[in-house]
Amino acid sequence: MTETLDSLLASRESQRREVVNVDEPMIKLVIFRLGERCFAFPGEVIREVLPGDEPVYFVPGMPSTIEGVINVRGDIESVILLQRVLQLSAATEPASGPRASILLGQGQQMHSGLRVDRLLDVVDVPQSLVQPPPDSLPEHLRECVTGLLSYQQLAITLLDLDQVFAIWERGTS
Amino acid sequence: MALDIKKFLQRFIEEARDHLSRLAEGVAALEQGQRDPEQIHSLFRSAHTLKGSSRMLKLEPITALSHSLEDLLSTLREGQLQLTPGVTGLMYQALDQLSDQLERLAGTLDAASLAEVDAALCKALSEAANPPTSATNQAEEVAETPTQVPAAQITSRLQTQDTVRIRLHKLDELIKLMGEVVSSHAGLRALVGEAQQMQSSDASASTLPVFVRTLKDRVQSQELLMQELHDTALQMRMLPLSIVFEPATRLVRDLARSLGKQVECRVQGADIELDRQMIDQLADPVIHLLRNALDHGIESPDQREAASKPAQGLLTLKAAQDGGWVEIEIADDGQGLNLQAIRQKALSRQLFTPETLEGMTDQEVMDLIFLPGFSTSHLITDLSGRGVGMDVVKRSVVDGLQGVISLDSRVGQGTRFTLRLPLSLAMMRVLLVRVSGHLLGFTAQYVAELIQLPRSAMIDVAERNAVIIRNEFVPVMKLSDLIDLPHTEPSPRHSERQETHALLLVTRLHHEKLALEIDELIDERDLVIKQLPSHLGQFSLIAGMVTTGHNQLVSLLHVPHLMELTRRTRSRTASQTVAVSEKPKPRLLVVDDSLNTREIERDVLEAWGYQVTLAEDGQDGLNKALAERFDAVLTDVEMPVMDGFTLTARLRQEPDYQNTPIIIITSREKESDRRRGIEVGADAYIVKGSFDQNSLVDTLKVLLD
Amino acid sequence: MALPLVIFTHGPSWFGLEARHIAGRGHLSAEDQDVIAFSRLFCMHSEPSGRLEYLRLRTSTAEWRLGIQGKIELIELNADVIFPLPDPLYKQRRFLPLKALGFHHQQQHQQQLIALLDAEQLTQLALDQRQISR
Repeated sequence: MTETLDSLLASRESQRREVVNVDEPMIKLVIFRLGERCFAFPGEVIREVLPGDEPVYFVPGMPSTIEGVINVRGDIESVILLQRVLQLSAATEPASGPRASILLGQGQQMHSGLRVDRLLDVVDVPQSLVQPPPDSLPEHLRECVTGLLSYQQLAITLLDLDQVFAIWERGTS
Repeated sequence: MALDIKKFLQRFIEEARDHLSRLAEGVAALEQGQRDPEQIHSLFRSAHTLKGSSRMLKLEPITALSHSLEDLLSTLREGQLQLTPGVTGLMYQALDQLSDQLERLAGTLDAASLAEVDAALCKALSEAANPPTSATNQAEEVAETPTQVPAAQITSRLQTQDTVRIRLHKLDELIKLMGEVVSSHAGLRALVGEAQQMQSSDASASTLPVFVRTLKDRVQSQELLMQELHDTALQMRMLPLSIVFEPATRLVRDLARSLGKQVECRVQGADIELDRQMIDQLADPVIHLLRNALDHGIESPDQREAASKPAQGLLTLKAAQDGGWVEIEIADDGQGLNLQAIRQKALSRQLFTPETLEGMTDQEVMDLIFLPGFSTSHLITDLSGRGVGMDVVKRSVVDGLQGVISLDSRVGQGTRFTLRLPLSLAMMRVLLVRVSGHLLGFTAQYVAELIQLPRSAMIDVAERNAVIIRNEFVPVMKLSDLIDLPHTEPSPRHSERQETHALLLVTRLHHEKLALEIDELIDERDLVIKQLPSHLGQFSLIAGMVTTGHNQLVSLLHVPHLMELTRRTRSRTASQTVAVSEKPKPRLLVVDDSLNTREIERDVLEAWGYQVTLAEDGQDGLNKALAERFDAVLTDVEMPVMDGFTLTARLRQEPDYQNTPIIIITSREKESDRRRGIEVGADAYIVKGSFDQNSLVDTLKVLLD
Repeated sequence: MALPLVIFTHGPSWFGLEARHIAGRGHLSAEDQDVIAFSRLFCMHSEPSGRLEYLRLRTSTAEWRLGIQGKIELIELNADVIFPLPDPLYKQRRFLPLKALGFHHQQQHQQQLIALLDAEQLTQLALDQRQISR
C-alpha cells in the first residue's frame, strides 16, 4: 500500500495516544497544614516556598494579621498570618521554625508571603478529583474556597489566593 | 518592510523636549534683560533643529511653527528687532503650542494626531520678524488678543517622562568604577590563592600577619569603591527641578491668560537636582499651590491698581539647596490670606467652637487651611475649590515626600508657601534606636536632639509627662507605649542608669516638638530607604524600611504620624475632664512663643475647668487682652516682638487690668528677674524648672478667689 | 516507509506537496495566463515578474498550475521525520494548507525544515480566490 501524508499522520496520532493513555487535565497543588486542617493553593500562584526559620521582622502599627516583613533578595515582602485571615481556631500560636514555611503568593493585584504551619506536598492531581465546596462551609470561608479534595487520606480545602488577599484587605480597613 | 516611524518619533520627542526647555529658559532670560548674542544664537539653533528634524518626520504643524519662531529669533540675533513684552509673549505662545503638539504626539505617536498649524500665530511671528510697517506695534496687538486657551489644556497635568537621559560623563564614570571593582575583585581572588598556599606550607606563622594586613587593605578599598559605585548610581536618578518648574510656569501663563490677570512668573534654582522619585511626586503639589496663588492670591489688574500695586502680579518659584535639603518657595504678591474668612469658615463648618477659634494665634488660623475639606474660595471657579484641597497638598508633602510645608501670609502683601524636602528619598540619614528590644529607625530630618535627663526632671502635667528644654515645655511619651510595642526579652543591659535617667529623642515638626523615651541609641548613618509593599501603604506610621548589617530589616517611624497619635491620646484625656464644674469658667489668657508650652499649659488649665485663649507673643497677647476681658493672664518672659515684662507693665496701665492677676511663668531663675517681675506688677512668678501643675492651679485659685 | 514529495523553495523556506498530487512540471512562457503564483497564495501579493516554472496539481476538485519561482526537487521522506503540526501552531496558522512538518537531510549535516502542505486545501484556496475554474 502506498502511504499518503494523511495516513502517515493518522498513525502518528494513534501512537501518541498509546503513550499518554489518560489525557486528563491535571492541576498542580501546593498542599499545607494550618492548625488541624489542610489547605492548598494552585501551584501557579505560589512563586516560591521559603523555609520557616527565615527571619521575620516585626513592624509596629500593623494589623494583627501581619506577622511582619521578610527580606527576599533585597525586596521587602509582607508576611500574612493565613490562620488569622481565615479565622481558624487560634488554639495554637502560629508556628515558626524549621518545619513551618512561608509561601510567596502572587495574586492579580498584590503579592505577599503567607505563613503556614507546615508544607506537606507539591503534587499534580487530576482535576476530576476536586469536588465542589459543600454548602456547610462557614460563611467567612465560602468566598475563598474553590473546592475540596481527598489526597492520601487527607481532606484538603482548595483556596483562591486573590479572594484570600481580598478578605485580608477588608479586615485591615 | 515599512520603516518603523514610531522609533524615530520617540527619539524626536525626547530631543524636542530638550530643545523646548532650553528655549523656554532662554526666552525667560531674555525677558529678564539678558541680551547675550551667543545665547540668542543658541536659541536660534534650537528652533532650527526643531524645524529640521520635524520636517524629516513630516510633522508639518511643528515645522511651520518652529520655522516662524526661527525667523523671529534670527531677526533678534541680528539686532534688527527690539525685544518688547509683545515679542516675548509671542515667543511664549509659540513654545506653549509646540509643547502641546509634542505632548499630543507623545500620547499617540501618530503624526496625524497633531492639531492644525495655527496660521494666525505663524503670521504674527513672521510679521514681528519682518515688520510691514512697525514691528513692535504689530506684536503688541497680537499679544493683547491672545488665542483662547481651551480649558482641557489648562487642567492637563504635568507629565514626567518614563525614561531618563543620563549625561555621558556620568555613565562613563559608572563604567570606570565598575572596571575598578572588577580589578579589585581580582586582587581579592589572588589572596584566596595565597591563603591556599599558606595552608599547604609550614611558613604560615610568619606570613600570616602580612596576609591579614593585605586582606584588610583590599577589603577596605573594595568597600570604598562599592560606596562610590552606589553613590554614582544614585546620582543618575537625579533630575533637575526644571522638569517641574518649566511646565509649571507655562501653566501659570495659560491660567493667567484665562483668568484675565497679568502675572510675571519668576523662577530661580531650577537647576537643583532631586531624585526622580521626588520630582514625580512634586509636580502635583507645586501646581496646586501655583493655581491657588493665581486664583485666590493675585488680584485682578483693577483691584491691584486700586490698592496702588503694579497691575502685573508677581509669582516667584524659588528653590535653594541647603545641605541634603532643598527649600522650595512659592510666593505671590497678592492679597494674602483672609483670616476672618478662614475663621468664619471654620465656624460654619463647626470644626471648632468660637472659644477655641478665639484662642488661636494668627499662624494657627492660617494653618487651618491645611485641614481636610477646607477651602476658602467663596466662588467656586473652574480652577480651585473642588477636587484636591490643601490637605492633599500637605499630605503629599509630609507623607509622600517626607518633607515639611509651612505658610506665611500678610494681608495685602501676599502669601508664601515653603516646602522643605530631602533631596532624595532613596538615601537618608537615619538614627537607629532600641526600644523594648526592638530596633527602630528615625529619619534625621525630624530629630532635633537626643538628651538624657534624670527622671526627676520630668513634670507631670495633665496626667502626662513633659520636660523643659530651653524654656519650652515638650511633651514626653514612652515610645513603646505610644506605638504598642510588644515586649520581647528584656533588654540585656538594663542599667541602673535607666532606672534613674531617661533617654529622650526630641523630634520636631514645624513648631511642634515631641520627646520620645527610648532605651538606647544604636547608630546614626546614611542608609538606603526601601518602601513597604504597596498594600501596606495605608499604615502611615511606617515611612519605610532600612537594611542594617546581616540583612536585618528595621522599620522607620514617621514622626508626623507619631505626633498625630500623641494628639489623639491627649484630646482623649482632655475631653474626659470637660464639664467638671457647672459654674461659668474663668477665662485665662496664656502668652508664650512656644507652641508646645502653650498647648501643655492649655491642657493643664482646661483640665482644671478654665477656659483658655492663647497668644504667641507679647504684642499678640496685648491685642487680645484689649479686645476682651480675661480673668487672669499667664505669660512667658522671653518672646519676640514684646517680652513678658513689657506686656505686664503695659497691661497694668490699662484700667481693666489694674487688678487682674498676672502670672509670669519662665525658666529665668535669677532673683533679679523675679524682682523685676514683681516690680512691673506681676502677682506671681513661677519658675518652669519647679513647675508642677498643682502649684500653678493653686496659685490661680488663690488669686482668682 | 517513505513518502514521495515534491518540494520547492519560496524565499528562504522549503514547502512540500505529496508527489501523488503533482501531474506535471514545466517552464512558463511570458504569455501563460492561467497560472497562480505560490507567492500569491502564500502572502496574498503577486509578483508580476520572475515566474519560471509551474507544477500541475491534480486534486479531487480541480486541476491547475501553481507558479514557482524557486528551486524544485523530488525527494522521499521517511515516516519518522514527518510530524503533525503541534496543536497550538495548527490552531493559530494563517496559511490554511499548512499541515505537517518534515525534516530533510540535504547534505551530510544540514537539516532542512519542510513545511508540508495539504494539496486539497491549497486547491481550495486557489478556488476561493477565483483564480482557476473547476
